[in-house]
Amino acid sequence: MKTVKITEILEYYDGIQIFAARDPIGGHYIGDMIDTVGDFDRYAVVGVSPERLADFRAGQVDLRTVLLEMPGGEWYITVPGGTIEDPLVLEHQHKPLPETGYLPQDGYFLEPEEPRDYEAVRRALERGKTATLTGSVEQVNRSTGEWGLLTSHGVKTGKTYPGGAVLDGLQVGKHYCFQCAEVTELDPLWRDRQVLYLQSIEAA
Amino acid sequence: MTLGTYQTRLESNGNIKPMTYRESLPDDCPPADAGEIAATRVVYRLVRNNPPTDDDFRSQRAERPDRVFRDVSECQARGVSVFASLNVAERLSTRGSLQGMAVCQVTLNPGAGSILITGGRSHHTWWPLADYDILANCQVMLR
Repeated sequence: MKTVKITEILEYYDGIQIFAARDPIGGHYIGDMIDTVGDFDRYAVVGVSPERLADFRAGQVDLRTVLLEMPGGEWYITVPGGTIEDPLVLEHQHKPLPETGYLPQDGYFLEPEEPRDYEAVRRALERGKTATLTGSVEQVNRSTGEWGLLTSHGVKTGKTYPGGAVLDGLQVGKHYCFQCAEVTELDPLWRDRQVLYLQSIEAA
Repeated sequence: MTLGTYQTRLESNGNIKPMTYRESLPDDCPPADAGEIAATRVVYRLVRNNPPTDDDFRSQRAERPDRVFRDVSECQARGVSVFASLNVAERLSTRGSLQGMAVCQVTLNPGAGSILITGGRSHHTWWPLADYDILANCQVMLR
């Protein structure tokens, strides 16, 4: 009996639409909601290489392609139940996936988690000491120093340096200028995203 | 679980007004990180009806009380999924079970409730206040 645990929700809308998961020996999987039976959602699940999963997360390959590349033509159905601690049990399917009608349409690309203009932030930092982001505060966690700012190029998220800019007084929904001093590479400890480090804040 | 969770907010005239959410929420929900909507903003939701009805803005928990949410908190299950990005909402509307749903633009004015980024890729969970007139503030987008 093959089991996996969900490691990341890749798309959510009134429930998990697409998830990434891993099996006990480290294999990667992707699950796509196919329908709902009673109070349970059902997912088609296939194995996927870490590189291909990264391509999908980056919006470089569509879901149908990833599902059709299933290793050895093997695919599974899972019906999540129990608690978050319980692994998902994968039920091996014999009917070829392309014959089931469960495959999504061509061209269903995931939105890249982060806008591409982090490179622009990096370039700005190379030219000067800080890069300025202007937008409305989406969320703020004063205890962890994490923040989200809705800019005209999408939501940017980041952290504060230990002992650096303080988030006290920030109001969600209000506009500010965030002076960022650093942008990291993709950080596996930050949900595989880049981290912007905030140096100071000004009212917009 | 507390039926009819109340929080309070300080109004501009200094009065403290209780906030009653549209749906019963667990304790500590919305989470402390969720911001009360203090400035007007626009979000997008998929709706089955055109024009939209109240049923289009029910939480998943209200829709299916016994549904199993394994990897999502009960608090999130009792909120309403919305997107900050129109593109993402339009893309979602092409997915199997969501196919045929219309994209509705919802204007969230101060007093609309609380909202939090949940799950990335523009997805937010919105906990509407009971007295917010959602239908007066939403408009189906033409394709």
